[in-house]
Amino acid sequence: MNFAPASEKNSGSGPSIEFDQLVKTFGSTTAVDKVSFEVYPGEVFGFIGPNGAGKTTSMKILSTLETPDSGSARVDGFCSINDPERVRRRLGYMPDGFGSYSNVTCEEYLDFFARSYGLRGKNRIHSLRNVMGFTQLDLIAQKPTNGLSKGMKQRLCLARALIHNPKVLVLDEPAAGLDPRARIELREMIAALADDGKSLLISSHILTELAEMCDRVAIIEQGGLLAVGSVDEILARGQNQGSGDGSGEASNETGQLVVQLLDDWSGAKTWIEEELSVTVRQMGNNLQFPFSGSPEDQAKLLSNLVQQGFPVVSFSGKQRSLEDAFLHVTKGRVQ
Amino acid sequence: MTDEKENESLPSPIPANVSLAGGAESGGVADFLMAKEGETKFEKWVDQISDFFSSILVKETRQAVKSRQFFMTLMLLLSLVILWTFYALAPTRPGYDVDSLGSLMLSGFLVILGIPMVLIIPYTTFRSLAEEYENGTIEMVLITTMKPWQIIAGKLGSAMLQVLVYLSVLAPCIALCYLLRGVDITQLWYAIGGGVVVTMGLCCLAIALASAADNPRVIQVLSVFLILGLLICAWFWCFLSYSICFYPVSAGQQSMVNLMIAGPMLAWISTAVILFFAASSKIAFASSNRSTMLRIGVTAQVIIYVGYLLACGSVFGFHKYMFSFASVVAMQYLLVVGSMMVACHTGMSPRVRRSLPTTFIQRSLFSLYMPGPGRAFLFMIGLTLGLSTTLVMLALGHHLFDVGFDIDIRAMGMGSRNNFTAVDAGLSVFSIITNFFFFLFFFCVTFLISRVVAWRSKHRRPFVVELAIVPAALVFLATAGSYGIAPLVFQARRAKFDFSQIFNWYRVQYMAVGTGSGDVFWHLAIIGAITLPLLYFCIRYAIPDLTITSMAVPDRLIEEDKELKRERIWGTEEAHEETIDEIFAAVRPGQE
Repeated sequence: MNFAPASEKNSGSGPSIEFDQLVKTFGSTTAVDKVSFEVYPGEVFGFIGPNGAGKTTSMKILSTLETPDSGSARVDGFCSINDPERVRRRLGYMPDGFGSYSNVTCEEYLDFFARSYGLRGKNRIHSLRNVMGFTQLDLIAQKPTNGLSKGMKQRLCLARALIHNPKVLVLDEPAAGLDPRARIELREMIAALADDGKSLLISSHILTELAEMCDRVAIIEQGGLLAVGSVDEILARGQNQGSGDGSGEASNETGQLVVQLLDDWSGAKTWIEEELSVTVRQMGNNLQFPFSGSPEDQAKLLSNLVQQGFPVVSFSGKQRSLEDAFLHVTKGRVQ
Repeated sequence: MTDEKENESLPSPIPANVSLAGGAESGGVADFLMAKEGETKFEKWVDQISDFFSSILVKETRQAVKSRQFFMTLMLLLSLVILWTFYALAPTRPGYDVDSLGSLMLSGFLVILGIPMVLIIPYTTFRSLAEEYENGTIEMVLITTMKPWQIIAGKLGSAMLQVLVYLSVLAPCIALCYLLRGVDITQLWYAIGGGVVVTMGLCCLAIALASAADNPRVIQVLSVFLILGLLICAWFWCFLSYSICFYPVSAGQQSMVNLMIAGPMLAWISTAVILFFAASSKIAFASSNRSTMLRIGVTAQVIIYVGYLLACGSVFGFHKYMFSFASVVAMQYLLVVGSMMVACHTGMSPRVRRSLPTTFIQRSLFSLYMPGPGRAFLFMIGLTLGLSTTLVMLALGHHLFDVGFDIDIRAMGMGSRNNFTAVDAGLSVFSIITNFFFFLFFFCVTFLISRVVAWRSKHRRPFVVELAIVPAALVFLATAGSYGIAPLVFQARRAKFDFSQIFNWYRVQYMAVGTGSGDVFWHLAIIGAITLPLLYFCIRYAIPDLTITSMAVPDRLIEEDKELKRERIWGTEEAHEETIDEIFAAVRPGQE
């Protein structure tokens, strides 16, 4: 399955990340099955899938930590198998777990990785200063790494991935376990890095986060790619698949309408159920019900509700989320 | 210069406009640099000097110095030294013979030194890599631009630095022993040099074990084996310390003792070097060339081994059984090493193919040193043939031109020194026997391994190279363990030699070298009849592996390599912009 990149924003430059028919098996389990997609400079690319779908394996292959059975993964045109040193120079990898050393402060931790990437003297100090400033670790530079909170550990991981100023960042579950504030800060950091021209490949289970920060996403299940595209394209594809026609055109597939009322909810509920022959759910002041029809039909319904004397405060369609699309596209299979 | 100005002047990997909750503009960077500025000149100097060392070495040293284990070991060492000093000095009174006191005290200090050097340092070296696997940090280290050998060397360097610290702590005590007399400088050299070499070898062994332990269960099992092994080594260390201190070498025996010590030392050091490369290969990326350095190491070891045997022969004269036994032990060792080499991956990555030899001379010399099981097979056959041929050539050289080592062929019971044919035949028969057996067993091991590797590959499971020792061990047990070594050691002269021992190469060698019995001829004929067709078939099958063509390096890679080389020599542009003091001065209060 090969999905052509839909991004027009960066169509002028070559891809920073390329997966080409990547296959990886562990015994009888196919962890990654012919995965192909590309990520362009300045693009934030989300990688979505249930546990065991093959996200981390794909990322590890790209990061030169695993070798594929067939196919290739490239960074800036360099193959992760044949030119691992060049890939490593261009790639920063932030794994799911945080590996810390005992008796090492944050500054020493980053200093070690800066040296490991060949940064010496002034370059090393510049890089340390910059990444510590960017991730706000300068405030806890002398704190031991194994005493850090989850949020600070994630920052330290990000700082480590950035220490050699890579063109490509691979972040595996960066938002896992973070509090809302830390998530917002992480999102801002990611946006800033993308603005700087870096390509980011991010896997996450928190789909609302991904929907907000990613230019494009890919959905993977049982090692195979199910969908690749912008969030809007994925939503549209999910709707099409849900309608079962597979035509690819917009359809009048059942959506959800939410009507907020000041009072008389039971009257309005009864009226809608009789009028539309649907089941209406009451959630506080809101009535939610399925509705299939054009925008004109929606306007007509609103007009009728008002004419019936129901005190309508707001009337809106419930947006399909990436989570809905994900549930539509995936089958919940595990391996 | 303000922070803002400084941010403008310095190249930043991060966008300059980034401000996350006031992070970059909150003064945090300034505080960080102020902390840096607080460093003394000495600290800055150390920081600059440390750039020349491996990052692993710097990190491990920082960790070690701050660790509880280091502090406790140091305290233990000092406490034991003080206690031992009082205990050893307790019996002294006016008229006491202090000449023997130096030896006594030194033996105690060496035993105490053995605690960190033989037990603690090798174990902490093992833990240092094992913890990287347990904590998941190994992946982070492996994806840096450090080479695998640099990672291993850094860890070993840190261990040797600790050795230096502990030796320094005990240096005044050792000096005291020397001043008390009863200990000469040679004994001190043996003790200190031997200790350093022993620790280095044990650390290499520990790190090679740790590199093979990629999951917690294996780490636990290997930890137990390592601790047991280290305890045995500690016992040997005590024995060695006692021998060094209480059995001084007289001037007349010095060269002989040196030669006797050189053998185990050379074997130990060369094995340590091979273990070092084995550990580096183990953690290297799958597409790397993991074979060449190991094969060079094994070749060097064989050359050292032959050289040492010949040196011993020239000093002591050869004893035929010793020579026979030593040769078969060498072959047995090569069988184990060879079995792991032929278990390597069958494919050759384009990355390795770019580095293949291109000219005829290079191909002739180095093709066998390139990765691949076929080349490994031919390499081992070539090595053993080379080993035997070298012995024959040295003997012939001595016979014809009276040069080289003085191998007393007569002592081997194979002919006369003045009889060219007998000399030639004696050593050649000896070489052929060794090679026939080696090849036969090596073929069996290779065949077995190739089948297992193919089966694992079919089921998409990797083969653990270390497990290749198992068939080699089975061959050892089947051919020598049960009825080979024991009869040779205990009842060799009495046991009846018959065809049931046809595959017992220790015994066949013994009989061929010792008695030249007629039965041995038939043994050799049968072994030869089995071996030669197999050898022909295998070489024919493996020869195409030598003709693999190299790949051209893409222009883009060549250009990038040139650029990197230029940067390594001249540094990057920004590196020339400011000195380190200017950077610190940039945030110094009240200074523009």
